[in-house]
Amino acid sequence: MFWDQAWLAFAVFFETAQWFVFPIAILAGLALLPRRRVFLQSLVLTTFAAFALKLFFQQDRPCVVEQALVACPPDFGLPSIHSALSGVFIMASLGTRYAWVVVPIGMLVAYSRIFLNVHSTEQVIAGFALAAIAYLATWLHVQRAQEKKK
Amino acid sequence: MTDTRTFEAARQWFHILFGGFLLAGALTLGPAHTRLGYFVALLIGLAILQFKMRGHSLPLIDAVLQRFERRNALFPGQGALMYFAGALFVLSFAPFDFALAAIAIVAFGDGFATLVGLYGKWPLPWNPRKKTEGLLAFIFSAAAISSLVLPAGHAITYSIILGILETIDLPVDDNLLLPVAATFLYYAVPL
Repeated sequence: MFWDQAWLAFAVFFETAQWFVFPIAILAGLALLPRRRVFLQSLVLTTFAAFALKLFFQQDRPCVVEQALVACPPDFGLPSIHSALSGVFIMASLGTRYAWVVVPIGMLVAYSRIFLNVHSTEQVIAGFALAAIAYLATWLHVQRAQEKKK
Repeated sequence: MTDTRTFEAARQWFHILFGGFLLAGALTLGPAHTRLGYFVALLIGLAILQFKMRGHSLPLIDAVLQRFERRNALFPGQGALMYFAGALFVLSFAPFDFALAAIAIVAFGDGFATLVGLYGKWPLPWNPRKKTEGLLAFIFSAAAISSLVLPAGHAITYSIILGILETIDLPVDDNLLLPVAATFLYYAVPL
């Protein structure tokens, strides 16, 4: 019973406090994680791409048809921005000891979107795919630019 | 040079055969399970990368990387991770049949282009580092395999466009570029 309530509180927290939580998480990421330039650039790229893809595909959220555990967000569902941003944090934490914290939290945030019925599994996976592409492409690009400077 | 060719040829055969195995699995599993399977594979790859970047030794993984990973890789398992990320992207944003075709084009087209290009004689006018024979190998092999899931005309068209794109030296890995470009093509150039 306690874990059910705790899990629900966690899921609702990341829905209702997202505009507060993500900026703090980004600042923490910039302070603690390596490859800061890659992290910031891929965050920006992922965010813009996610919003653009939402407008392009205009795929409804599952809560449009079946009630969600929170108020159904008014925008479209594909991809999940929560899971996309979590994916960037996960990629950025690779190689650090913070990954052991960031990865479980990121995965739980992504799964919470399905649990709340504000995203489908496919929409959450799409968010991760976008994050992986954006981070890997940015990482390669920055690394090659640095090698050229040398 | 011979050692480089032998290494690269082995790498590309592994790429082709592994891609074929994944395709066969995808055709068996269907859209939802394939997406989930590629997602889990990506997560496993990231977990392995985490262990490797933290300095841990994974004997079996190390042996595969030693045999098949390019020496100038940015991180261990770069090729495989980028392959799964690109495949997951096209599986997430394009219809399943087209996504399978795009994955097949990357696996077979890119693989055969490199294999044949290693021994090619005629450089491309717009990129002398790549060979005409490699481009033709890309188009023929990609069209052949993707025509298993797409109409022949569509398979040939996408293979030509992606084959030409693959010959341009862009600062993005082909395993990322080709699936994203394919997804964009599907919606920008409806056939």
